[in-house]
Amino acid sequence: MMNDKNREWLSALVDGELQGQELEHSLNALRNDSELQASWKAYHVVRDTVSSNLDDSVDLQLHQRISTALESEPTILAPQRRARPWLKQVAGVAIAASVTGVAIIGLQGMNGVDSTPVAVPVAQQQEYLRMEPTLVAQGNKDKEIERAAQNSDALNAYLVNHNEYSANSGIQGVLPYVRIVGHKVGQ
Amino acid sequence: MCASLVIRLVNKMRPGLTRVTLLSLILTVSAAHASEDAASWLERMSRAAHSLNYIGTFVYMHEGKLETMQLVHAVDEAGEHERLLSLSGPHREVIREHGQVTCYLPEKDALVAGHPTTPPGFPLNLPTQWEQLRDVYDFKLLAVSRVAGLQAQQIAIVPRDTLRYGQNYWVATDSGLLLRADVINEQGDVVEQLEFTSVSLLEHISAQQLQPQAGSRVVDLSVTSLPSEVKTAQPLHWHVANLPAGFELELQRQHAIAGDGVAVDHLVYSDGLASVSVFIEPRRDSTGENAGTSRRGSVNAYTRLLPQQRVTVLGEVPPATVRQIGESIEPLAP
Repeated sequence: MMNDKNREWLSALVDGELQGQELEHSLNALRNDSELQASWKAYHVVRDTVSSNLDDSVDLQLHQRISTALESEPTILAPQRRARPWLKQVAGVAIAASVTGVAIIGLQGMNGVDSTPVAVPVAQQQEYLRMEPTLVAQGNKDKEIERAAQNSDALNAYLVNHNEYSANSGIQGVLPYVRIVGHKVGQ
Repeated sequence: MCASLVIRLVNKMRPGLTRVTLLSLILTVSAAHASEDAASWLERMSRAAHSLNYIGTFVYMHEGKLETMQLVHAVDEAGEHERLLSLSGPHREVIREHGQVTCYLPEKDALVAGHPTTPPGFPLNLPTQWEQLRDVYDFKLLAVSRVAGLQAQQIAIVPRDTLRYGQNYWVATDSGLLLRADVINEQGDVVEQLEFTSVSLLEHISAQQLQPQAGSRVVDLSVTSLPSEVKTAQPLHWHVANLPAGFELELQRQHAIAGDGVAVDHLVYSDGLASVSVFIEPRRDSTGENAGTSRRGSVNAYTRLLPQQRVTVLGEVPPATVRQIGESIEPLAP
C-alpha cells in the first residue's frame, strides 16, 4: 500500500540510504507487494529521467514529456505545494512527490531544509540531485520543515559544543559562530 | 634569505649534479623558512583575535548567500567578551563571555547556553603541533594586499590530501587581526568566505556595546555540563576504526542535553587545525530521527543511527571525512 511512510522509506531505499534492519525490512516489504514494486520502478524512471540516464528500452516519449515539462519551468522560485497535473497523468502521485522533491532539493542545495528561494536552473538542480540524492515527499512538506527546525536546533547545540572545543576557535575566537548566526530556518 | 644571492653563489660552484642538489637543498630550507614565517603570522593572528579591543563589520558568504555581520571583542580583567550579530535579515546574535555562549535565534526565540569552559589551545599554540601540522598541510606566505582599507598579509594553508579543507587568511600587518578568511574545498572552490569591510581598534568598549538587543525569550536547549564530565582521563567506550590520516583524539567529555539530562558522549578529533566532533546519544522514540548529511558553510555533518544510539559527526572538513569517521565508529569491547 502506498502511504506517506512507505513513500519515505522507498525514497531512501532508491537512494541507497537504508542499512541494517531497515534495509532488510524494506526489501522484504518490496518483495511481497506489487504496488510497491511498481512505485520502485517509477522512482527509478524519474530519477534516470532527470539525470538523462535512460536507456533505449524505456519509452522515450515519456522521457521527453517529462524533460519538456521540466524545461518549460527553467527556474523554480518556491517549493510547489500543488501536485502538477501533467505528472499525475504520467505516473501517479508517487512520481509527483519525488519530482517535487527534485525541485526542493534544487532550492536547498546541500544545506538541509533552508527554504530561502535561490534561483537554480534545472540543469543545476539535476546536478544537485546527483550530489545529494534525498527525496522530499511533497505531502510531508510541512512535517519536513518542522523536522528540519528540530534538526537545526540539534545541529546548533552540537555546533556550540563543537566550537567550544575546536582548534578553529583557537585561531578565530567567536568567528566560527557565523555558522549559527548565518543560518535561517524556514525563511 | 635573498634567493638571487643564493643562486649566484651556487652558480659559482662546480657545475653539474652537486650544484643542482645544493640548490634544491637551499630551496627546501627556504621553503621551511617560509612556512615557519607563516606559523608566526598565524600565532600572531590568534593572539590578536583574543587580546585586542575592536569592532568590525564583515560579510559572510556561504552556499551562494551573503550576510552582513558585526563582531565586537573586548578584553578586561574578567576576561574576553565577544558579541557576534547579524546586520542583515532577521536579528540573530551570539554572545560569548567567560566561556558562556548564548545564541539568540528569533525564529524560535531560542537560546543555546554553554557552560564555562577553558577550551584547549587558547590562543593557538602552534610550535607544539608544528611537526604534526606540516605532515598534512603546506604553509605559504603569499602577497601583501589590501583588505578593509588595511595592509594585509596573505597566508595559504594547503592540505596535502583531500581529507581536509584549505584556508586562505589575510592578516592585518599592523595589528595582526584576521581580515579575511576563505575556506577552499577539494575541487579548489571557495565554500565559505568571510571578509571585513571595516575594523576599528578601540581603547575601550562600553558594556552597552556588548549587550544583546532586548526582546528575546529564553529557551535553554543544551550544553550544560554533567558533574561527571570527563576529559581524556577516563576513556569513553568508543573507537573510530578508520580514522582519517593525521587526525588524533584530542579530548573526550560528556555533557547533558538540557531538559531531560540525557548524557551525550563527545569526542573531539583534530589534525591540529581542523577539528571533528563526534556526538553519541541514546536514540529517542520520536520519528524525527534522520540519518544522512547536512552542511553549514564549511562545516559538514553526518548522522548515523545505530540500534541503540544516534551518532552525529561534524566538523570543518569535507563530507567524506565526517562520513568516514561516522561509518567506522564502534563501541569498544568491554
